[in-house]
Amino acid sequence: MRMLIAIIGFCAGCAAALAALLLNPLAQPVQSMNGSETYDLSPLEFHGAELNDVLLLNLPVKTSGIPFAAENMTHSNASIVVLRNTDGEAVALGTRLVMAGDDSDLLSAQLNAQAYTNIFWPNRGSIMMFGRENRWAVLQSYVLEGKGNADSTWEVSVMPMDGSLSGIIGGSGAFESIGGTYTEILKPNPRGDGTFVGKIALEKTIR
Amino acid sequence: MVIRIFLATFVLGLLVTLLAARLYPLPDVKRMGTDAVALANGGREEIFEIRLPDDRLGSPRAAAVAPFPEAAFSRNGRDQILAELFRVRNKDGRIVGLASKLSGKVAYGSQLARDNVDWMLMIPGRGALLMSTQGMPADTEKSYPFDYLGLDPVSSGRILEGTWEFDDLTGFYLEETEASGIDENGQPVGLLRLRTRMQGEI
Repeated sequence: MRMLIAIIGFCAGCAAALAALLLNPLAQPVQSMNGSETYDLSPLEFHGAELNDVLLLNLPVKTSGIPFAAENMTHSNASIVVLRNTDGEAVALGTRLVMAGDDSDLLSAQLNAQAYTNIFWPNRGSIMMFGRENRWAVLQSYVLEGKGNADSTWEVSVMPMDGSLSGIIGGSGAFESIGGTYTEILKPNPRGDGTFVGKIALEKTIR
Repeated sequence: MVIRIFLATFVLGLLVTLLAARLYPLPDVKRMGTDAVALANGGREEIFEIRLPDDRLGSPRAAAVAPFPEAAFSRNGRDQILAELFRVRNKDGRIVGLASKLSGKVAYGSQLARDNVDWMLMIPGRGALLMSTQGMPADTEKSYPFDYLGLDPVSSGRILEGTWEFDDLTGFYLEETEASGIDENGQPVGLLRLRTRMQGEI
């Protein structure tokens, strides 16, 4: 009888700790979509492995995409993306390079990634951006809602706590010396290949 | 007694789970060494290489032509944006990172346009370099060495920003191509070299 109580108590403690970790109230807040220009963003080409919960947790199951073989590149990917305005028209082309952050921490609900994005508007100009992401919401969603929920959306953009660089870091042509911020949300790709699509909101500022 | 056992094992379960979360082996990106060399007049040079066509990811023809005949990508029906992705090697030929290149025309004044090339170079474990031939950094107070660190002022571009170990560096880059021919698929064969020269921010 005592052994049974001990097992139940231990399992309840584990479950409580997992719930506290998953719904960590002390987690770094992610930013809501906020910007004067909003675009849908979807990959035309994708190479490497998607940084989803499986890959960011190093789980020994197959992830989406084919990870690069080089030992420092297993947690990174590269893609060519098209940006569409709210009418669905393709207005710009971009590239994205994403890698896992080196500061992920389960105790503070952080599954971090760093994203570098270059967007090019034809005959107008380009901007280059650097953003920090916390993809903990992807894990939360998959655990709480189950995988394959096509309606899921995840806010992932985080503001660096130390005030270090992020956002729009430069541009060319009409966007020369433009700065500002951006936020994005990720969604499962409707193609069902495990990659993400999303929305990106830009708030350009003239320095 | 039963309650005591339950509480004790409950707390034990909590602690074991938190300890496991603390010790859980999250991705640890291996840092590849640098082969940067010091420049005689100050600063450092690091060369990244791309072997063509081996290091090209995907099809540049598909990327450049097939999905983008859309009017939005070409005001006059001729200009196009070319997007390319590459693996990147260090001088020893070891793959160390990824790069993207976006090229096309950007506005220059109210009526004119000029060619621009943006490069993003990401070296997992070390950081990234964001570079552009015509681009300017958002930080308008950022200053660049007046001597271009010995690179050709006309053909070189600016390093707009660096992250991680490239943070707090400023400088230029030069794209050099040694083409040796065209393969059976019409792809250029040769070596594309990104020569970066940086120094501490002024």
